[in-house]
Amino acid sequence: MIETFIQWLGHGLIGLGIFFIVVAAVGLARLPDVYCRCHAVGKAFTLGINSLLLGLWCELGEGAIGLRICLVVFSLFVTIPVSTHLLTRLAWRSGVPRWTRGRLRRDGES
Amino acid sequence: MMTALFTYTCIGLSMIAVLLCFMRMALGPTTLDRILAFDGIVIAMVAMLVLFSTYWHTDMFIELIVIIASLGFLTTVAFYFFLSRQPPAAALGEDETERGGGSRD
Repeated sequence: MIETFIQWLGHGLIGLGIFFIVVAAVGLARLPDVYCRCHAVGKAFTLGINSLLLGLWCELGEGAIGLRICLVVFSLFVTIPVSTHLLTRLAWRSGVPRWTRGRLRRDGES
Repeated sequence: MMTALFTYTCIGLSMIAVLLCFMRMALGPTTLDRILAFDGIVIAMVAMLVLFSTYWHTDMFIELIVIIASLGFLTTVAFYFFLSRQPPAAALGEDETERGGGSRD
């Protein structure tokens, strides 16, 4: 009973993770600005890959991999938002134009 | 144990994600877009490794996942520290010679 439940939980987590990864890739391809693309990568990719890794944990069982999958989840949960934050900081400092209501504008322009 | 159809569907969807990231890497207007697309490609590759690991029901790929994710983060940080020491035209992806080229200090 509990094994079946954990198996279906793993399937659901893997499907959810793939869904969020495809959503993040579509957002990376379709959003109009580097800040919006960093938003898509930093949130949706993190949620998708962490759901996939938890689904892998449910599939393999807790005795097989133990603490290493927690290490991967923690490192990805920290590093992806940090890298997108570095990119947005660099974009803001070098004056990449922002997207507002269908047009690009430089900083300080009304 | 996962069925083959579910695994193949998930791998196809992550390949679609990689292709969308490659599209953004090809036509991204600034250099930061290309770095971000590379980050997305690395994450989609990690997703493919997780899917293969669930399909073959093995735990040998966890170290590989750790190494690849760390390499993606380290490339992003290296590009940040390289581009933050360059003039802002380098991060914007513009050629300096087209803008008069007078500000090379």
